[in-house]
Amino acid sequence: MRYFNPRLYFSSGDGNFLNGLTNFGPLLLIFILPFFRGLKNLFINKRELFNYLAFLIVFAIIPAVFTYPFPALSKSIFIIFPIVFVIAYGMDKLNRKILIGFVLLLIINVSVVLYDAVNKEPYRDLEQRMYSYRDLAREVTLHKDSYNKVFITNSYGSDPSPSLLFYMNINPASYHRNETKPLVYRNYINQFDNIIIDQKEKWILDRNYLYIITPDELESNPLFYGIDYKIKSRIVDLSGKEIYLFIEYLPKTNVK
Amino acid sequence: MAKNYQKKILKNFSLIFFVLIGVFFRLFNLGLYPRLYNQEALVGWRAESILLTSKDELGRFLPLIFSSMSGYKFPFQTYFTAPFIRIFGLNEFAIRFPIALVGIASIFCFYQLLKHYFDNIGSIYSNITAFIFIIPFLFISGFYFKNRKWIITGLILILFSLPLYLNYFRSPGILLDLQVNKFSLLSDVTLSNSINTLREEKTILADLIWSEKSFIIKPSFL
Repeated sequence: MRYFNPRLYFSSGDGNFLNGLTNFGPLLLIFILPFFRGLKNLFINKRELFNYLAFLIVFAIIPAVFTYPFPALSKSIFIIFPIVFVIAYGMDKLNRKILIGFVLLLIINVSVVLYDAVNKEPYRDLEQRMYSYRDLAREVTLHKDSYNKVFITNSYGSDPSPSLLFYMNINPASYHRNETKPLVYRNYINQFDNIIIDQKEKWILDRNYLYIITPDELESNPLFYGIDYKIKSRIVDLSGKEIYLFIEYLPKTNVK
Repeated sequence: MAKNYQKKILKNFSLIFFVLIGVFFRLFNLGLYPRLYNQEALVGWRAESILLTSKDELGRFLPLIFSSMSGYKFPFQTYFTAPFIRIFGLNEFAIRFPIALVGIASIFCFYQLLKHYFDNIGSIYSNITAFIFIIPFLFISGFYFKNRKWIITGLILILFSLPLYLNYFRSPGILLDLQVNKFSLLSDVTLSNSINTLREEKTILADLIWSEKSFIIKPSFL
């Protein structure tokens, strides 16, 4: 039933950043007025077309209902088309005064959404948007040749390996390797060149290894308890918060 | 001759206008905002791998199904991106351009579909509807047609095929022909491909019927 809630399409959307602006639905809020007018007009004047569009709306929801337990716009995209039909019908024969008022409201609505999209949206869900993977790739490229191995944590965001492969422009020919054992996709893709992502069981302390971890991990990961280290580099997100620390291990004997 | 062109342009003025707006909003800052999502990056790099070595990231020769962190992926997305990687190089724009192109084509398809429905009511509906269809994508240019959700390719194939079918069904004697050919139109490539593209989205129904926990069918190899 949540698919029949107009908020999903006109107001708040489904909140998934992959499906658009997290605070807005796919259609502008202002279009809700012609939508209800269109529904009313269709119901009164064009019952056959109303039935047809109602059928399309219900039919469009069915795959989405079977696909995901929560409303998801990407899975119910077919519903947008009958809704737009109804809106168009609702905008028919508007008198001039209403039309001018509608255009003014439309401009205000557009301005609000644009302002939000430009000024606020980039700061929401920074982690999910993987805002810093490009910077991470740049820094890893700078440092990786100075170390035998580079360990990268998986704690910030999820699976940075595809972004690293892309931004570091890793040559596919050098990436492919012949594995004799059965493959685990995640482990396979999380290891290339001298870089190992996640797979914490392979992490050992060594002077010639570089560890790229989150500030929280520096305190919570037992591997780094009480060790001496040097921070080689840091990566911050849009809000200036530290998200990655590049740690070099300094064995006790080397201190002083 | 020139007059004929002028007439055609005037006749299709609204369509041209909408397509131009659509082109602007879909291509403006295409590679810059929003930042590239992980799965997009994987598609781009995999497409380059296919171009250079004919192998995917696991070293399989031109596979018909790809793997990813979140399950299996159908191949359309990668193979469709590969030519654009070849043209523009491996960058954000090249990865998103094909889906933006699909988005631009969708305006044309949707407009044709509307014309079909609203011809007898008045073309004003087609214009209003196309306008509403384009305006939201100003704000959601970061999704659907710009990147990520390749479910849209299924949608566009259906959009392409719908006006054609609507015209097809208007042909005299078509129902008899369909009966003789056992409804062969279901073997249409655009439709079956669109269904396949949509199937990429994992379904709860599929899980219920065919999975480890399924109470209906338990595959022996799981």
